Amino acid sequence: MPDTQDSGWREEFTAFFAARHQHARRTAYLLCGDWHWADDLAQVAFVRLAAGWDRVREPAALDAFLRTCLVRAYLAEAGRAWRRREASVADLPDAAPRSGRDESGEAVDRTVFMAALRRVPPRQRATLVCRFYQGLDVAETAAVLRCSVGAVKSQTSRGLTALRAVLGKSITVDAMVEVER
Amino acid sequence: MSRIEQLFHDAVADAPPTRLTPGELYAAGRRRRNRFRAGLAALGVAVAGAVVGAVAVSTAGPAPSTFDNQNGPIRWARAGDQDHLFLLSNDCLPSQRANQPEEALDPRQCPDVLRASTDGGRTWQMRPLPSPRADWRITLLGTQTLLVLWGNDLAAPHDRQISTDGGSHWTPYSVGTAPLPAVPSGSWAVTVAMPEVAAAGPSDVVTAVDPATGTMRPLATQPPLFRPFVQPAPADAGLWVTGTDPVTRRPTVAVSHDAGRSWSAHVFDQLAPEFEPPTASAPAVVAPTGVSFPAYVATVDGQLLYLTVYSDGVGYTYRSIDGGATFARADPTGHGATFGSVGSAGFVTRDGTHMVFSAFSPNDRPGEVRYAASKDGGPYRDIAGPPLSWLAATSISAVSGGGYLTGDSYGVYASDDGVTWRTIYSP
Repeated sequence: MPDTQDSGWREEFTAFFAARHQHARRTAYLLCGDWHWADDLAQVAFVRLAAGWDRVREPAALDAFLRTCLVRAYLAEAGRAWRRREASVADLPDAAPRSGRDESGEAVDRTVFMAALRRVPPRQRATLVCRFYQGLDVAETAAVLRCSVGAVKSQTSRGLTALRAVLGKSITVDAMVEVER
Repeated sequence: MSRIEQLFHDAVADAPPTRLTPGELYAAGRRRRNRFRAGLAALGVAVAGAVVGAVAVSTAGPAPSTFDNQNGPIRWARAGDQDHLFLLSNDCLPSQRANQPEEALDPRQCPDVLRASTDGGRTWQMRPLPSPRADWRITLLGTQTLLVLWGNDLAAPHDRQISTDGGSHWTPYSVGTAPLPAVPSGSWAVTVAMPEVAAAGPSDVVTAVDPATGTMRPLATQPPLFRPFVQPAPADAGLWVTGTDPVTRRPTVAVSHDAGRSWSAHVFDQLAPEFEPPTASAPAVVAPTGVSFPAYVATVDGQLLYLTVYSDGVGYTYRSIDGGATFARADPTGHGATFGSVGSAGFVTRDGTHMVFSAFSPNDRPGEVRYAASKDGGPYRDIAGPPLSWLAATSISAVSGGGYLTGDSYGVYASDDGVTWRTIYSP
């Protein structure tokens, strides 16, 4: 491979990393609940992306590839992870929590939300992250998770039910409507 | 943006700095691609090695790297004792990737492979798995008993298989409701959701496998805990289970020194309750001051132990020198907030020092970690740790008979003292 060609690819990769790595890490954090683990998952995804950089270069395909790597790496590690309880209970709250739920109903405590999200089983959690953070529709989520559209709907519904039960009115009807989107 | 979408975005609004750098990631990716091409060229050799079914690895390999895997990642490894080790990995032979781009992880194309070592990791032998399905959950009980579970239907008999000879032979195992008086010799306890035991309600129960019959049965005397979870500990250190007090939901630890016949429990009343989602009959448990996260125990001998729990956003460590009869806060004047991950108990070195993963090095170089270390319950001091990844640094466990084991996707590592590590398997 000519050095100039590789240098060009490196520059392109660096630019893509600068543009997308925060989004990727945040996606990973929502999946696993720990920033250290999130960095590990992002590392796996970006290394695989770099390995195939000369073949997968259409911008939309890059995002999809990265997202798929993140979600599948998370599900693989959550199911058979090294640590004993990681599948059901993740990790450190990032700051001292505020006092439970905002009485005005305008803001739900971040720690409580993450605690509730950690209680959602990994596959349901991944479905919720794809739908409500990544903004994917049902068909796109099904492609990431390699499952049927119906499975995505049921996983979304179950995950939302668990979250809504904890967070009450904070999750309003519009969220449930979007399940069918 | 809907309310639910806003919640997700708010949760990640304050992301800490990353340790990742594009230059290192790109270089690692290109190395991976080059190895892939080299692997294709050496396909014949790889297949021959697989047929032979034995893998010899260096006992003094290079320092673990977070970048150097070519084959599928290692998913799990455990030590029954110093000699009997097991690991599960996704081994994608190059032939399975031929003519395909570097795909995102798809376990269906990379079926799991079980390997066992009976000589402390010097040599490894492939062992059969009872199904090619990839969504395994595998548990090691004792030195040679393995349980695998797959699928979502816990009650389906074909979803459960047991091997009592280290993975050489597998049979479906049954679940019995007749209680066991104690954990049988050669077995070990495990917590599972057991729908067959109706009295257990929504909580898991502590069970054990009777190797003689291959039957999993609940212990007759359950620890007085809600959501019990058996902690990994050397077999001769006693049976340690963490959970919450059934009434207050505050973090609790229970120990049995007679194989589960009797239990003593310690409730940490000064900590906030653990978060519990609501049920049909009870609201969510959220204390006005916040929530606690499950406690973890680190011990070598069962007498000196450290219990780490996060409460109200702060990490606390409690120390016991009498086998759990009494606890005192380690580093009582410290804040404990430097601990990096709730899901890790840390580990206890041979001289009694408690080491807890703290952070990556200031250089942000993958593979360089820092520990907080406390001796005799004193202040935690920042020290440089071994060159392990975060996953490995937070997964260290003591091995029955002495020594430590950990691993990550890229290797399995062993240590005699918790300080100096050697690679005993790499993909």
